[in-house]
Amino acid sequence: MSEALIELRNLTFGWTRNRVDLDIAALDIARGARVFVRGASGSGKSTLLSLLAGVNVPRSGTLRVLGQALGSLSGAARDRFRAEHIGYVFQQFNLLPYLSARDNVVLGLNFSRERAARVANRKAMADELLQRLGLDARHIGALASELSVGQQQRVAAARALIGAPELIIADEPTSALDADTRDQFLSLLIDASTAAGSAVLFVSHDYGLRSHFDTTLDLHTLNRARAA
Amino acid sequence: MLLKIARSSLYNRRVSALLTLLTIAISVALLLAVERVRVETRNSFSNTIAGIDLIVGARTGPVQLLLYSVFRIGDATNNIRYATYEEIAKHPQVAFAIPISLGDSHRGFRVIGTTADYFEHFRFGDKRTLEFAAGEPFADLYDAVVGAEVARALGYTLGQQIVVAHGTGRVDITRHDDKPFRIVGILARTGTPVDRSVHVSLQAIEAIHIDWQSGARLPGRAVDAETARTMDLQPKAVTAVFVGLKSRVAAFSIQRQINEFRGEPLLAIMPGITLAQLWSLIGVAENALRLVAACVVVAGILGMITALVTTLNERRREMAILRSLGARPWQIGVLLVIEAAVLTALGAAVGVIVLLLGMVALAPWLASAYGIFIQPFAMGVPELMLVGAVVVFGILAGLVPALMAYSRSLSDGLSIRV
Repeated sequence: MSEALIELRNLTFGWTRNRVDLDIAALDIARGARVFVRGASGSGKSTLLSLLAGVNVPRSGTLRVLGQALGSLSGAARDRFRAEHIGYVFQQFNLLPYLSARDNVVLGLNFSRERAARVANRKAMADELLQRLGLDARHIGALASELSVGQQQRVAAARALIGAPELIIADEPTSALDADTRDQFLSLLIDASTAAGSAVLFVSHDYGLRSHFDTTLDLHTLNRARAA
Repeated sequence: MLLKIARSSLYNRRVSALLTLLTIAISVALLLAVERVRVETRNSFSNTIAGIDLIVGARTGPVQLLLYSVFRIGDATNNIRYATYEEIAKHPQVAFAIPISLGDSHRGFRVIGTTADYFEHFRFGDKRTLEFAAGEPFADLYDAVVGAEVARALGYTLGQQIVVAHGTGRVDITRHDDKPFRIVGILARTGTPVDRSVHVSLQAIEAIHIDWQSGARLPGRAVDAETARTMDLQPKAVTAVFVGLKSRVAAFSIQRQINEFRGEPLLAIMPGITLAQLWSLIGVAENALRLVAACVVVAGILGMITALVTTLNERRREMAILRSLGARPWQIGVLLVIEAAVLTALGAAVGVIVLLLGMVALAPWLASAYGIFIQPFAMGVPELMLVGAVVVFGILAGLVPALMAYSRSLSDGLSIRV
């Protein structure tokens, strides 16, 4: 098994034929690493994430995740790969409003065999993760639509963490929070992912958060398409 | 899990889902109701008469003769002479001949002048004979035997006096109130027009018209009830004759003999054959009715497609979320098909329940107003197949939004629009 989690070489991508939106010479992220990627809007952040998550494929160059070249997989295979190996925390959290916090966490396991196999008792695991991330026990059964923003975020993080995927991608998940809550949430997220053995790729424009991470990357310098 | 998501998502949109479900329920109920009424009407008609080989009346259309003699629908244009009835009755091939005389009514129910043979030989349904729920056949001149529905609707009991009206209108205008009848018998329910008839003797019909001429009372020549008893009450005409033959093989030849009768113009029909003619007439209307019912179902399902498609936009986010969690596009499609299946299946179930309740509620009214006897719980295989077809159709219809969601979730990918 490859030691590298993400291995990226001479990658380019453009949303339209005549444009290059992303051009990265090299990017390596090890398993279990905690990486902060700083990028303002327009820096190619969403583009990079869409490639890492296998939503889009590189125009040229190679992108390997866990040794698997994503560009050579079909769309359906990339979907499956994402479901098995990547937990995604969205900026807007994206919970299903009509399911309970617990059901939202368990939801992802239904589409991922490997992650489901790592969880013996789904309900217990979901509750454990939610509590570890600081959600009150009495909110675990509440509908997602009834939760506060901070609570929703914990649910979204727990959903990404359940089944211990190799990579957690968090896309600006703290932008809706005040500073105190943000820091508290980040330490909980990092602790929980360390416990699960998952690498964390945290993307934000907020440079102040980088202290929580081992490595910091700046997309402005990384992305040659923008630098030029 | 897909089921749980579908359930929770539907519950989340319960008002529109409920309305969709109701639309389907009503269309299914309507479809089944049309089918039920159609089948029951046919059954009611077919069960009305049995064991009668020929019906003889004045020359008219065969269907018309059948309608007024058996179903009490419409009026006879002409009577036949009593002597002709006697001649038919004496025919060596004839086992029995029941004369009936129509033209009077009692509060909307037809009055039939006949003989005691009627209670002995008349058959309905599976060749069942008429039975008395109470009392006995008429014996005295002013005795009457009423059908079950007459007794129920008007609350009649034995010994009660009733007055017969001239003509067959819904409202009694000119009444034979000088010669009241006494109820001596109440027939058991048959599910045929017999239930809606008042039976008296042919002589009684003669007696109440003795001081009448051309449909009006003769002024200054009133004859009271007791005096009428002493007069000549030999019937002069009957409306129709129900004939039973000793051998059914002879039916065609007797029919021809009667149709070629020289004494007066006659028409003899075989009830089964004329009933078939009637069906071919009614069939057109029946099919139109079924077509309309089918269109209502189509409209109901189109309504469901509309409801599902319009929610697709609102649910774009929900589907993108599922996709981001690793749900395949086909699973998103299946989600919508499940939803359509649940909606149509529940809708159909509710429709059946609505129909059953409706039939239980309306059956007495249908029976008394139209003589159609509905059995609410006699749901048969054809009906279940209809319901099944609706559900299958609904699931297929669910493919439309499912395919839309499928292709949309492919193109939307992970970009989640709020």
